[in-house]
Amino acid sequence: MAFDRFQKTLAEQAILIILAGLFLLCSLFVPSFFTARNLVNILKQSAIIGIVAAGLTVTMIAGNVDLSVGSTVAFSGILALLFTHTDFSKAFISGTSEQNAVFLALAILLPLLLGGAVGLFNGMVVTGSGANSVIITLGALAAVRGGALLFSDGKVIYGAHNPLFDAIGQAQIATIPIYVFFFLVFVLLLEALLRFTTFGRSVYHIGTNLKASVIAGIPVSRVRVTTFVICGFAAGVAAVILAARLNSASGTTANGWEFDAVTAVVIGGTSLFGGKGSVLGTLLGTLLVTLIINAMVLLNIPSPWQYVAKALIIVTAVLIDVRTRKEAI
Amino acid sequence: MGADPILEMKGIRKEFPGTVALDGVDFDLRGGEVHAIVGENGAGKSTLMRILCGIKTLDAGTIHVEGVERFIAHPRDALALGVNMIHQEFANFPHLSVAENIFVGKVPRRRGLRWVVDKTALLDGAAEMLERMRLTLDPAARLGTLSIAHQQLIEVAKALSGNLRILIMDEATSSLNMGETEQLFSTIEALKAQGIGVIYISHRLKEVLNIADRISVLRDGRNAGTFARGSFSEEEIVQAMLGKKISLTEKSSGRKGDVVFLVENLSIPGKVKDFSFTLHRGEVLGISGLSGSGKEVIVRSLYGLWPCTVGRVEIGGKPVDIMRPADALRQGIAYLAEERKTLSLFPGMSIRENASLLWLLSIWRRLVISRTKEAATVGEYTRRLNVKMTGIKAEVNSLSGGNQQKLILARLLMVEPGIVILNDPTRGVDVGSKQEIYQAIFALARQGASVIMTSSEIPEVVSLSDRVLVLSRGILIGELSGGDVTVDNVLALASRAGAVTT
Amino acid sequence: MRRGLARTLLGDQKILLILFGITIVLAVIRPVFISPENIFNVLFQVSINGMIGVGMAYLMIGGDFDLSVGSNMVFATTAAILLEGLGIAPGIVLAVLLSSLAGFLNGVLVTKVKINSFITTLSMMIFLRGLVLIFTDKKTISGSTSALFAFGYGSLFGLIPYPVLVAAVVLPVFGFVLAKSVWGRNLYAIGSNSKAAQMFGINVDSAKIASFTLTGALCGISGIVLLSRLNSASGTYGMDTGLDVISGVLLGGTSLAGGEGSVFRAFLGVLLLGVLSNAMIILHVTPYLQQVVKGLMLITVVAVDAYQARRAEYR
Repeated sequence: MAFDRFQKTLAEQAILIILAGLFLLCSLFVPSFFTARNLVNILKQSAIIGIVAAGLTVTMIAGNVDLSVGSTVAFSGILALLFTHTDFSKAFISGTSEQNAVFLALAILLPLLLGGAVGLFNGMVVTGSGANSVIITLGALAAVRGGALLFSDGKVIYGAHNPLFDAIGQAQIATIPIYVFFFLVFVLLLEALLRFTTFGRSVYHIGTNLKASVIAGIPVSRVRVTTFVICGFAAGVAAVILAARLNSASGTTANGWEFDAVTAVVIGGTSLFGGKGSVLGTLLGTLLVTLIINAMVLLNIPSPWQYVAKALIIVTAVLIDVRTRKEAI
Repeated sequence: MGADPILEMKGIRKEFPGTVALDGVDFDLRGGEVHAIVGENGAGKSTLMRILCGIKTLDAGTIHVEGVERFIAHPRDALALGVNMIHQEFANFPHLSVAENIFVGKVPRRRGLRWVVDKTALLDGAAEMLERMRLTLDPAARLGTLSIAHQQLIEVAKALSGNLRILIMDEATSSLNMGETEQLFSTIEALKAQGIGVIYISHRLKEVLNIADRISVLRDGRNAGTFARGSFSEEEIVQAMLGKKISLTEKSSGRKGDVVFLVENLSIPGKVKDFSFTLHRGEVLGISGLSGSGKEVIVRSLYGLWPCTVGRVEIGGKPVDIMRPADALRQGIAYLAEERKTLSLFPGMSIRENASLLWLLSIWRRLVISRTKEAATVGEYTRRLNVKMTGIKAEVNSLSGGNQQKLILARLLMVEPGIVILNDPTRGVDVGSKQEIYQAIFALARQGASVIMTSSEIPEVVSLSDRVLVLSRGILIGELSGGDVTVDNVLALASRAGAVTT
Repeated sequence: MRRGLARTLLGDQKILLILFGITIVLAVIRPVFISPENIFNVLFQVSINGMIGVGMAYLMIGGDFDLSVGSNMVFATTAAILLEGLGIAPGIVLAVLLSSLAGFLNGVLVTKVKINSFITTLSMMIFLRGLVLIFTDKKTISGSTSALFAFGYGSLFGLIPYPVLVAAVVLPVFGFVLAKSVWGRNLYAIGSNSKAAQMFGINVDSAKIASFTLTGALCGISGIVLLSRLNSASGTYGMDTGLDVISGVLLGGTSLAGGEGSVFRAFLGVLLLGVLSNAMIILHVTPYLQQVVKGLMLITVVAVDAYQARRAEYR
């Protein structure tokens, strides 16, 4: 299906080239990089944060941002593991305990609901007041994380082993975890939503020109709120997978994920100003960021330097975004 | 009045992608005179002034100020030369005080402590300026708390506070009442006495005739005559502004159907009072008046874009409630906004995406977009309106202004609206596209749709409308139909002073 | 006092009333609230946040904001400790200079490279925190001399603690500068209508860069004050500072939309927030709940501010 956005196609190709180029460089010069195990590692590390970034992309194309995603992942993760026990007091000790099908269902559903609820809250406040989504979701970041810590009383929650979560977290096909495939499907679904539905088209319109969108009768508030709900929901999904994988969750899980997600989205070609971008681009962006961090780890560069690198990456991505904007005008 | 011009603009040329805004325009100004520029929208008046003010740069031509050639690349340069403009869109600071607004950029500083503001000098200086203009205002008052009229007069004071040589007034009286306009005019007289040259731009021909020593007419980016006071009639001016226009025979001669749209007692506080009308099927209804008459806000509130109170609203005989654009669209009303770039277009998106917007939403039950259907429909309507483009996948900014406007029109027509509201449909559109848009409007009416239109160009309203409702200062002054729909009649009604609305 | 279009969240008088009310109530239920030790704690926190709040006020009036203040402050503390070898005074001066440089960089990126305040200061925040983690090697480092303790724990005339004194000097001075200087008035103009400001010859870039640099410097000074009490630095300090300062300044009535506010108002807001935070601690509210409350408060304050700004547009 032909796609109309010129700038976007250009940007996508650029990332692809950079990704391929870096991949080549790392394969040649970074020790242990080009091993099946390491490559699968990269995929594993990209997948979970990639889901968060994918959801965030929709919000950012509409012109907003959601910085509370990391906190939502934490809170949702706690809920997920909590409900793998029928006796909640057992959740603080590692080990097995009784299970119950209903509870297990809730263990999946509640995190998703929470994510959606946080998204709904953010969306309604931002849309209703007209406030800057940066600061609003910054406040949500603090509130939700605080809530997570409060709820778990600051302790770590352990899950009770059960076949469902084992499957989600550990099952593999050809040494590649199932959740990586799930990530790809999720990305494709969201991309399809953006490309092939009226809703998706509206998201681009709203991000490009809000006033004109109102005049054209687009239900602007409804669409914007929905983008936040999608973002929160994605965070919930990521939380379930993360919880299943680690079998532990706490109020400090996913600390800083929001910034990693924003970085991935911006590198993937989504403009901070809205109106441009794609989930496929975010997929590439996530791979790129994970690749760089992975290479740094293999090169034994200490983790604080990764912070610095991340900051530089995001500034570079934004610079490119601002430049391409200028040329377009 | 000095004999030598203090300003000479020669052969000014300015192009924008797709249109030539100015094609070798000459203009000169003598000290102590008021030289007015008139012309329809798109004639080039604003562009010429923006070039003089340094907001835009010229492509060709020269500017001489007091005999010396100057290059004005930035508003700073213009200010340095003593060129000041009173804008239509406010270039003032509502959060700052009157005094700070007057002296913005050149606040008096304390002797000794150069980085501290000398508050007494500031307030005293402002008080002096205000007195010169005979304004009784508190220099320490916050600008935002004052009326629009006063804010405008403060802008004049701001211009005066510098080394003013040339003052440009662009639609300066649009929000002023009689008394305030008088005040402004006497200020202008005072400026003339000081040897300052005033360039006066306005749609209000009566005012222009009142105050101007010379009038220059621009039409389609070229000079169309300069007239000195006493040597011309109003008709001559209007004739120069219009040039040759399309014949009126194309109009669907009053084949009126039943009432499709009825509005009673529409009021907008401070702008419009008790406006009522009926719209018939197949009719083109024009709403006209001078700037400030309220025609633009009326048209917006009909589409749900401006808050208003209304007695009765009926579509096809059924009462409706239009609070926002989505409501209007649901009733089959489509709207063309007055500013393409900010209100209608989606830059960075393709022609196809810009065109199919309303159509997609109207078939909203189909969540999934059928790309083939979309392409087919967009193709059909862009062809019908003769949108010249390289393909529907091209980016919308690759189109010229006229083609962009036709595209927006195509967008509206795609949902087959029963009522179409046009707000200044040919603003910034080239002559050829203008004609095509006119034809499209006539075709619409012939096929049974009804059109409400408003435009800042009275001749355009006259050319297109079967009936014209004329407003002045928010009150419906009169209605013209059939053979009575002429520019003169509209102007006559529009210039009648309506009551000041509360 | 300017009225008319003023959209203060809570008028100056209201804030003072609320403060008064809270103080009385708390003094009764938990007398420890008005113990000298607790009063000092509150004042200390308010001094630090207040000084940074001054810079934030300058920025917000001009239409920007700075998320990197917390990291910048800790960066100064860290730098001062690491540079002790050069001598106490040079170490401090250098640390403040470095913080100012960070602020300056923020300003340049926002004005000349035209990246918006959010991304620039966000990146700076991550960057500086990364530097702190690198230099502290992810541990908590301590200063070797306790020379600064005399400052941190001492007081003038035995009454006014030196840290509070610093703030007591900084706030009025920069409040005066904002209200009376050409730079200050320019910031109000820029926040009110930045396009017009540029047109009339105001150097928008310089004014903004100066504001960012000032904020950086104030973060540096706050970092030193912090050092004088804690004599340590770690990558986990100052996480909440950005949120607290922005909340405080907004609460006091300086709007994100720009063009209005003052140092005094910013101080009142920070004071109110400081008292509220302290009240929560005194009332033994768990730190987790405190975080929730702070987050919700920020949301409320920002939302109301934006809503009022919107209303003002429909004149």
